[in-house]
Amino acid sequence: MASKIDARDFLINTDYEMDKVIFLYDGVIQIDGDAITLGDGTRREIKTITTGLPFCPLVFGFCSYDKNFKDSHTFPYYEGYRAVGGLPITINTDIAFYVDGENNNLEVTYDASSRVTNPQPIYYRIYGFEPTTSNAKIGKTSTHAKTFTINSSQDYRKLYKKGVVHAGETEVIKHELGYIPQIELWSSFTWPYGEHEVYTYRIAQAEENVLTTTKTTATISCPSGWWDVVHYRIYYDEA
Amino acid sequence: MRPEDFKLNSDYLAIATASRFSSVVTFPGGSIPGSNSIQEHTLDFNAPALDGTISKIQISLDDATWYPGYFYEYDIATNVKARFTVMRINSKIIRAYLIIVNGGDSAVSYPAKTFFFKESSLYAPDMV
Repeated sequence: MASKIDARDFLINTDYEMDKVIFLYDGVIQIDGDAITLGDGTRREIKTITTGLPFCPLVFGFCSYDKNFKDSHTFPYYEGYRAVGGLPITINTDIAFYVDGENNNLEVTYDASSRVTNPQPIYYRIYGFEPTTSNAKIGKTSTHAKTFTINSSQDYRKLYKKGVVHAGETEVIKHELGYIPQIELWSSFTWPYGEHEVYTYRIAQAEENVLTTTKTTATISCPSGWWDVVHYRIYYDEA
Repeated sequence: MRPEDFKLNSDYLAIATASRFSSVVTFPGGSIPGSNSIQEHTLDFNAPALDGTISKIQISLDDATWYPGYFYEYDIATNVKARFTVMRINSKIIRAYLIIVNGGDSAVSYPAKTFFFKESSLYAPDMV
């Protein structure tokens, strides 16, 4: 691990590992004739993306009502009021995605309330990383793009540390960077109900009992009884 | 090969940081009636970013300890919940929300609340 220089001073530096995206999927999802109608009248469209991977990838992405991705939003995207403590809500649209850990496929879901008469299509782009729990050999990034290269004008994120914290455990990482670094978290858990049982989500809620970051430490916990493991990636890049 | 076999490798797409923004936001105190009433407060921040970037938010209550994610929930009183949310709503504006829901029977007063947030605007250079 390089420590003599400030990683923020360099856009690309061979002393630092870049986090490598292993796939990019993009597409559009819309409510159409095969949408499922839920008990409250919400119409749900589900789109499955087959990854063919031998492991459950760590994913993040974003979506937009515009095909050119103006006004884009990070997944999951909620428009309108969202539930607060299980109290009454009015949801207009709700798009989310997760990884089905049984077959490692992505499932994009789009819920449109019965109050929305003509829901717009939503465009999405989803990126994937290989978790540290995998040791698979894979080819170059699978993407729709015809060409791409590393470009020295881009400030690529540089990995400081990555790993997992298992249920009931807490890991205190002394990064000593002197600033708040960027951190990504995902949780994998087993859900005993429904069609699928194992899921991986990117953690979007600011939960005090999962991660707290200071200028010198990152404390990561995996609460027992719910999640099986928390995957983390810490970057030299400043938040 | 494995992605981890190389520190830098042009065969793999990578995520870049395009811009950063940070600010403090204070919502005023007030009162909310009971019977499942909802109040929403919003504040907008002028924060230009590239089209199509991924907005990554971190939140703090004291500017010292930070949490990942773009929303934070807390209790104001019994049956009174609040959610602080920070979202980029377009390529120019970041909007901070404070949504309060009173599930009790009577009105409740709540104090002013200050939050801090940071946004890293991310993108993969092949996507445009």
